[in-house]
Amino acid sequence: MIEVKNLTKNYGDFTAISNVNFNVKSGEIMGFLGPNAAGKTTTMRVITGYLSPSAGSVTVDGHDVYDEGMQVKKIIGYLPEKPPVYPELAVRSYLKFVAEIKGVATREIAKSVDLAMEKASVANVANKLIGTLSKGYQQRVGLAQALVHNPKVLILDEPTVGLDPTQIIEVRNLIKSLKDSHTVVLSTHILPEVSMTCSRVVIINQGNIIAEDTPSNLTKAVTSDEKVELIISGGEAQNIKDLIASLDGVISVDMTSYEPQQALKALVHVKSSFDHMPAIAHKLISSNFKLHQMRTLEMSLEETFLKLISKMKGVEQK
Amino acid sequence: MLITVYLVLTGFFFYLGFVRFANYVNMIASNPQYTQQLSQLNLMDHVLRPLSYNICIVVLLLIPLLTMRLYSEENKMGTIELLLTSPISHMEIVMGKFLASFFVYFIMMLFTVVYLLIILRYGKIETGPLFSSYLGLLLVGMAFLAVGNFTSTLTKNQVVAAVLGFGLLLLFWVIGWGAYNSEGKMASFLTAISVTEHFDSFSKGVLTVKDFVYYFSFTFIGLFLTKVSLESTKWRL
Repeated sequence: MIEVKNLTKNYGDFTAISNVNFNVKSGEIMGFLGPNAAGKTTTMRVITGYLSPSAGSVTVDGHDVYDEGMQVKKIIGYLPEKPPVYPELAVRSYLKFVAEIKGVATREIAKSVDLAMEKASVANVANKLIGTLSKGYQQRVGLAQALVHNPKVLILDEPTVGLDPTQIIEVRNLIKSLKDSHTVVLSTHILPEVSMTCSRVVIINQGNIIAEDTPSNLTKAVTSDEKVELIISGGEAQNIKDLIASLDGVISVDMTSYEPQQALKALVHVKSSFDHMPAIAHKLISSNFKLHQMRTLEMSLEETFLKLISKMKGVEQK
Repeated sequence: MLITVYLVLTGFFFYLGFVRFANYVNMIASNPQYTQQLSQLNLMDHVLRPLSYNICIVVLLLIPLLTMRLYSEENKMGTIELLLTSPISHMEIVMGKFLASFFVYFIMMLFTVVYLLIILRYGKIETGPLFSSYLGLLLVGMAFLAVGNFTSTLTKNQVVAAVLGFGLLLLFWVIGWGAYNSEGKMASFLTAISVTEHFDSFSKGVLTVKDFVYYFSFTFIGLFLTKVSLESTKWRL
């Protein structure tokens, strides 16, 4: 559906993306993952025809974005990073206007607008001025705008930014429901979001594509080793450390004191918490140590990303 | 808002012109020596022509304010991204915005018909120069609006757009003054591109092809630059 070939975009001396290649199949949801300023927005803007490529080409549904911009624009729904809304318009009249410029037939407009409002769950604020709505609602009005002409292709630039947790779930479900009938490209810098919604992921950093894979493979790559925090008392630090370190699947152990109580904190680096934690817990308890707490530490976004980047570079070198 | 300001200003000019004319007539009428001149006085020359000239100045001041947000606000809010990624041509965007601003301007002009009704109630005027003045005002406005549209595409900031527009318009307004200090071809060139020169003939009731050509090409160039500037968003950032 979307073919990006050797795409390069420069802003003056600055290269935003260089030699990017990827394909998105029809009916697929592709996640575009990368830190800020990685080139996600630039790539999306080129696909939508807002920017022209410096080199390379993009074809959407067989039409070149640069040469046949009109055909491409008709079948794309685009939600930019900042929802393109007019604060002084009411939601319904704004969506009517968008439907008109997107080329929806006049007698279909009212129906399309209602449908888009229902999908993006903004029907309850249909007659309110957009300027008076919260950021979350404005974001969803932006989403309704992208859906209003029922486009084959949806380009969503960070669709869940600014939403509260319930809304995020709603939007993710909405995106999932678009699968098969629409081709979706969405960008995000949140890893779990990708694994929850997308069937394929392209990872981009500093304008280069680092990896392209299914979310489950990538998650495996990232979560192949984990950190677990244990709060233990009733023994010497060194004894506990030796005991844990002797177990299978443990990579390293760091002991510190746990200040609030007279206890010890162990930071254990294991290959997989799911596979190896029961053995560790069992060993500690059977050796008469008191195990107060045990939890898997979630990696921060930065850690995850750095890890992913270094992993992918390693894979490439092999 | 803008229309109110416009009406207050033009209303004031109208009042001034009318009162001055009335005083003038009184003065001459009360002095038997000048009775011959009385017949030369008419409302067209002494009230309406200065009025249309003054309206033209007010328009020069107000049009940049009318057009300043047309594109700059879209640039700022990011809604320009919506317009440029929709299946509509740049030409449609440019013409749509231009015609919308012209419509507002036309409504503004329509309000001044009230002054004419007042004059017609108390005196007689020739309809020919009257219509040509209005036509002139519409053409001047059209050309000014095109310039305002253009400067608005250049920036995200409304104030910058207004100042740029105002500066450009003022330049075209005063450029004819340079003709007094230059000679030959330069002088005639400066006169030829001056906005005021071409407006004068309209207010006198003279319709010439060259004045029409002037305002239409002025508008065309303005809108062409608007379109080029809009297209260039693809390349800059």
